[in-house]
Amino acid sequence: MNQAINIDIGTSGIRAQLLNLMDSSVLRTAILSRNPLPGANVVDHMDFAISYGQGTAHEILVSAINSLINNLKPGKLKRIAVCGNPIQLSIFEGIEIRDLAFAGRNALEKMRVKPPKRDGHVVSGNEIGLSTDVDVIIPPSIKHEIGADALAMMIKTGFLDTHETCMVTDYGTNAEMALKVGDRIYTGSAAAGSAIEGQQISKGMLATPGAIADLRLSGGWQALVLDEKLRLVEGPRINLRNGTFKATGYPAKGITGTGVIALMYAGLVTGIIKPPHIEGDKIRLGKGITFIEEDVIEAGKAFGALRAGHLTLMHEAGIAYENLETMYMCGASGTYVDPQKARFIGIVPATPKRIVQCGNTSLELAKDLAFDPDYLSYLNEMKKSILANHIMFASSPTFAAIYIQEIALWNEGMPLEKYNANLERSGIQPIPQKLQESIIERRYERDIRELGKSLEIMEPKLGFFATIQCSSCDTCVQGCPKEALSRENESFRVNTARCLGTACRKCEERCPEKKFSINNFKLELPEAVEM
Amino acid sequence: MIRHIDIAVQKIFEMKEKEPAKFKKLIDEGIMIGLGVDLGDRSKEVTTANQIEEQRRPKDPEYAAVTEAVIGGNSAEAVKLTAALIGKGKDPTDLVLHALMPGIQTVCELYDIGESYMPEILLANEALIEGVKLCQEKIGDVHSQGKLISLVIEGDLHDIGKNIVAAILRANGFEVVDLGSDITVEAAVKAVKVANADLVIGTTLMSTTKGGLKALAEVLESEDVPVACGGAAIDRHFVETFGNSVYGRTPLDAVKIAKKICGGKNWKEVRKDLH
Repeated sequence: MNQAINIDIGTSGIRAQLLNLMDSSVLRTAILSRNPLPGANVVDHMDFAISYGQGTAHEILVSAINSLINNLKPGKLKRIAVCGNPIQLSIFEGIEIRDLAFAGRNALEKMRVKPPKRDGHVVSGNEIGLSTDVDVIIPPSIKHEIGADALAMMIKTGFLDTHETCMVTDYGTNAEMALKVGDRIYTGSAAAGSAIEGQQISKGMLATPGAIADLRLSGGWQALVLDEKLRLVEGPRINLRNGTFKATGYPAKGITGTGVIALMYAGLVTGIIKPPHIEGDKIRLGKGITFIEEDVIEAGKAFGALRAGHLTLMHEAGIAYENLETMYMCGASGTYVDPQKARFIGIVPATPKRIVQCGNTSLELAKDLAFDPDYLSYLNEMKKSILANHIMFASSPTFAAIYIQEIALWNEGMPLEKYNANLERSGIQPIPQKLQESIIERRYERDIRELGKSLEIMEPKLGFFATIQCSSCDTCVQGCPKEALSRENESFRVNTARCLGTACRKCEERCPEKKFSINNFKLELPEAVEM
Repeated sequence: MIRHIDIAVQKIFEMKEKEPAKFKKLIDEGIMIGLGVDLGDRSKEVTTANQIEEQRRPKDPEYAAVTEAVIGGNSAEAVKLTAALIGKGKDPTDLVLHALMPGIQTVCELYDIGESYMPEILLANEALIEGVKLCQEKIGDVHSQGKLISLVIEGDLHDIGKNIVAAILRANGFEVVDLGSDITVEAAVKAVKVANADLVIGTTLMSTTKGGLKALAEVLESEDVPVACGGAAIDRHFVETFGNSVYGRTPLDAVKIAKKICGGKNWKEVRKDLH
C-alpha cells in the first residue's frame, strides 16, 4: 500500500498524518504537543536559531519530526508534504531565516542578508536529514511576509473563490489574517501570542485531551473538557460563590485557548472579571488549575492584537464593519471556540452575516500536496495572480492607534465608550456595540478533519546536556519557570520544548558561581516519548 | 461588587482575620457615623480628579485654555492658542512651563488615580510637543531637568512603549529628543553627541534585536552617557550582563532613572538604588 505523510509545523505544536494513497484516506494521526524549539513564539524561535546556530535549530526540529514520522509507522512511503509559516518551514528546511527575523530594515542591511525565494519546491529527505529519503514537498510563500500557512487558509476555506467581502483568520500563536474586497487582498499577521493556543496562560495547554476548551453557564459554570478523541465532554463543575470546584466528569489538566475565551466571556458577562481584575483575585477551575489576573492581561493582549489587526485591515481597505459578509475561522481555536463568545470578546468582528469554522487548513493543504504533488505547480502559478497588500502591523500607525486603546481597555479598565471616542478622533471607525445576528456554519467536528484509526499525542523529549562541576545549589533548577531544567550529579539537562529560550535564560543569569553557561550545552537526540 | 449577602459576610470575616487593624478602623468609623459624627476629613485623604485639575490649572484664563487643550489632546487648538499668545508678546519659556506643561502633568496625575488612560497621555503628549515646538522656534532651548534621547533599537519597529515613556518623561520636565524606531547604534551615538544628551532611553519588543542595546551601551561608555533599557524583550538579568546601563520595567522607572542620572549619579549608583 503506497503511503504519504502530511505535516503541519505550528509554533505551539506539530501535527502529522499517515495517508493511504490508494483510496485517499487518513490512516493515523500523531501530534507533538509542543514545538521542540526553545521559546514561546516565532521570534524567540528565530532568536534561538540565530544565537545558537541555524544548524542546531534545524537539527532539533528535524529530529522531532523524525520521531513523529516513526510513530506513524509508515509502510511504503512515497512522499512527505509540509505546511506552516515561513519561519518554521525555513528552519525545517535549513535555509536562511535572518530576513524574517527583524521588523526594521537597518539591521538587515548591515548583515547583507539575501532573502531566499521561498517558491514552492521539492527537496529530498536525505538533504533535510529526515530518517526516510523520500520527496519532501514545500509549498510557496505568496510574498516575503505571507507564508504557505496564509495561502492554506485562503484556499481551504473558500475565501479565494467567493466574490463577497470576506475575512479569514488562522487563530494561532501568530495569527495570520486576510481581508478580501473585490479582487484586492489585504493581509496582516498579529503576534497574538500563545495565549490564543493556551500556552502563555499560567495553566494553559494545547488543544489536547484534558484541556478545558469551553464552559457552559447554568447555575454554576460547567467546564467542558476535550477527551481522548478530542470531543467536548463534561469536566469539573465550578462554584464561584465559594471559589471551589467539584472534580466530576473527565479529569482536567489545564486550559486551552478556547477555554480561556469561554472563561473570559463568562467572567465579563457576569462581572466576575473586570479587566484587569478578577473578583476574589482568581478563579479555581480544577485541581491545581487556577486562572489569575496575569492571565486576564495576557488574554487581553492577545484578543486586543486580533481585534486591532482586523480593524487595521478594514481601515486600510476603506470598508465599514457593515460591509463584511463572511468570516472564516481556522485553526484549533477557530474551530472549537463558540463564535458568539469569540465575537463578544472581540476576536471575531461583530458584523459578518455568516461565520464559517473551517478547522486546521495548514494540515489540509499539506494533505492535498501529499495526495497530488502536481498541485505544487498550480500553487506556484496561483501565487503570482494573488494581488495582496501586506500591512506590517509593527510599523502601521493605524494599528498602533487601535492597539493602544486595547491595552488601555484590558490592562487599565478603560471603558469602551472612551475607546470608541478616541478612535473617532483618529479618524478610525468605532467598534460596533451591537452584535449582528449571523448564520454560523461549523464545517467539521474537530480541527483535524479526519483522524484515521488512531490518534497519538506525544511530548518532544529532546535534551540539551552539559556537565558542570559546581556546588550543586540548584538555584538554576529551582529558578526555571517552566521546569525545563534538571540535574543528576554533575549532569544538567534542558528539555528544549519546555525551555523559554533566549528570552528567559534565568538559569544562566542566576547562577551564584557564574559556572552555568547555556553555550556549553550540547544537543542529544533521544526518541520522543509517548505521553 | 458584592452581589450576595453571604459573600459580603464571608468577606467581612476574612478581613477581620487578615487585617484586624483595618477592620477595627472601619467598625469604629461605622459606629461614629451611626452616632452622627461628621467624618468630613476623610475626603481630603483622597485626591479627586477635580482637585488635580484645579491645582494644576493656571490662574491666567488664557494660559488655562492652553492647558485645557493639552489635557484634551487637541493639538490644533494647543498650537492655535500658543501661537496667539506668542503673537501677543508673551514669554515663550513661561508659556512652556506654565501653560503647556501643566496640561501633561494633569493628565499624568489623573492617570495615577485611574481617572485617565494611556491613549489620553499619548494624545496630550502630541499636543504638548506641537506647542513646545512653536515656543522653541522663538527662544531656542527651554530650561529642562535634563536632555534625553529615546529610540527603538535597530531591527525593531514596535514603538508604542517608547512613545509612552517619552511622553511621561516630558511630563516630568525632561527634554526628550525622540529618534524613532529601527535606529542603528551609529545613528544613536551621533545624535547623543549632537544633542549633548545626559541619558539614552532604548527599548525593544523583539528578542532578536535586544543585542543592539548592549552594543549601544558599550559604545557609549566612552562618552559617559548611560543607556536605560526597557521593553518586553528586556529584563533586569539581561541588562546586568553588560555595563553602562540600567534596567527599567515601567515608565515610572524611566523617570526615576532620568532624575538620578541627570542629578549627577553614575549608572552603577543608579543600579544600586533601583535594581
